[in-house]
Amino acid sequence: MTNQIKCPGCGWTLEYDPALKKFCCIFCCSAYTVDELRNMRGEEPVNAAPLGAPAGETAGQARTDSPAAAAAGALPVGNTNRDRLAMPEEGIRKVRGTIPMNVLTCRSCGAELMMNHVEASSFCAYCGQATIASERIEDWLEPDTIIPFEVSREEAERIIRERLYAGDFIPEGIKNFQTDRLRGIYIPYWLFDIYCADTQGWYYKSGKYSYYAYRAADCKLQNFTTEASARFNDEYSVKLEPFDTSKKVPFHEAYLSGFYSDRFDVNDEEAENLARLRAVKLFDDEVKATVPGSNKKLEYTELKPEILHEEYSMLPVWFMTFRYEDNPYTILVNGQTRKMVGAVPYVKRKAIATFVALAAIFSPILAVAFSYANYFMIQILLHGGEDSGKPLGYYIAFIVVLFSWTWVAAIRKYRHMKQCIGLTCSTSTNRFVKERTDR
Amino acid sequence: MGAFYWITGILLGIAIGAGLALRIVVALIMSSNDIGDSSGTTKDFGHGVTICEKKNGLSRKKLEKRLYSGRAFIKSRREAEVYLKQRQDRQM
Repeated sequence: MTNQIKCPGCGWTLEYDPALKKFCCIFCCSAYTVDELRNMRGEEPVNAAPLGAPAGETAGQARTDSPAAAAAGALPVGNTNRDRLAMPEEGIRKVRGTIPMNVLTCRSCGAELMMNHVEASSFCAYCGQATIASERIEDWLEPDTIIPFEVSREEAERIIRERLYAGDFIPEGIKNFQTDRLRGIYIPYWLFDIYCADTQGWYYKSGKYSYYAYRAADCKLQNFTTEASARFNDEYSVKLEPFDTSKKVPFHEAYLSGFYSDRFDVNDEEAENLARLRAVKLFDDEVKATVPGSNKKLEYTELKPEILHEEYSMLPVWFMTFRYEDNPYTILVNGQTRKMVGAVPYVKRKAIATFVALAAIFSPILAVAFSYANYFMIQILLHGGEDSGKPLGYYIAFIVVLFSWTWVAAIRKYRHMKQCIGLTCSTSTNRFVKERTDR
Repeated sequence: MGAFYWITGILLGIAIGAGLALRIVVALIMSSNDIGDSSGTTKDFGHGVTICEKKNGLSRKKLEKRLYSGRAFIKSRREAEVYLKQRQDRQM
């Protein structure tokens, strides 16, 4: 069974307008707030929260607490979602790689809607009206919170165009791209509050000598986002961060109207493990930055991140696909903070010309400098006495450092850049966007 | 001998000059074509890591003594404040 949020005035489907932050009817131009919709539908406010108030001040806060408070027995710590957690009949792993489709019926025109097994909202291919698979949301697990879209479709396209147009090495074909698809999708995320505390022993080198550093540190990560969709690339989801979770609101299915959305298919236990792993890495990296010297190695650690609270949330992302030289490229825009994620191919001719021009400037200057440096080094070696080997050693070390600072760093950065372009061009992301009903 | 200075100098100059040029070109391409690549840090999800105690330049023995001294873990000032406030509230 599907649901559509109908306009009380004319009966057309209402869609959420990020610019107005209201539910708008494109037919009679009426606009309603979520409070007005709830009143008209005779719904109770969610968790007795003031409607539109950030969810963190209501349900979220009631379940969140510090370990200190937990120890004191002040508030329950941990998960309250698991009691309600219901997965679809087929297991998550079984459906990976294949996309089972379900046939639902559009309430407006009666046409058949094809939705994959995780979609929670889409559009009717015949009448174009926004459709929500309400039964799926109720049967599986209703999200606790949602961050509504703050970036409209037009704005998302505009900021991508502006950014691409500003790039000096971006081909004209990409600068003047034709949008293949632009879809606003609510991605399911688990939000965790995680407490990390650890005493660590770090090995490091300073000059010729080896030392150890001791660190006692702690950290509380709040609303730590862990993506809950198996089909959406994890690398992309991490780069979309951070979301401003202070603006999340209690979930209402009406927010899905006008956008695509998926339910979670990575359950909370699996997501907890992923979140813990990432929290440990972030914690260790930050502590490592406080350790002096080089060759830093973590030798003693007992870090076991503690999950204090979890929440199932829907977060907004715009996906824009365009084609360049027969390859699809998908650029993402955080639907709340406007942060863009992606990388595009460069103009090879221009890059080579710049390289040759710069090399032609630097090489002669450096050649003269090194020739004189070589001359002085040989003179020191011939006439410098017993300690003459020392400056030569420093000179060779300096050349090795220069090589690694230029060639090694450049090649590493170039490889990273290629990886980012590959991610933007990945077929899995393109499929994630493509396999949805066109409006 | 004079030719040796020049030949090695020219070779080094070409190699490092080309490396420097490559590094600059890659940086220019990244700033132009990389639309967004940063990922979150702990500061995006709170106040970041609080270092409660730090000591550098220790020997292995001294480090082990600190790590296994059996002392209760000192929580950060922030956590301790929350805990104390809640305890005070309960006591009142």
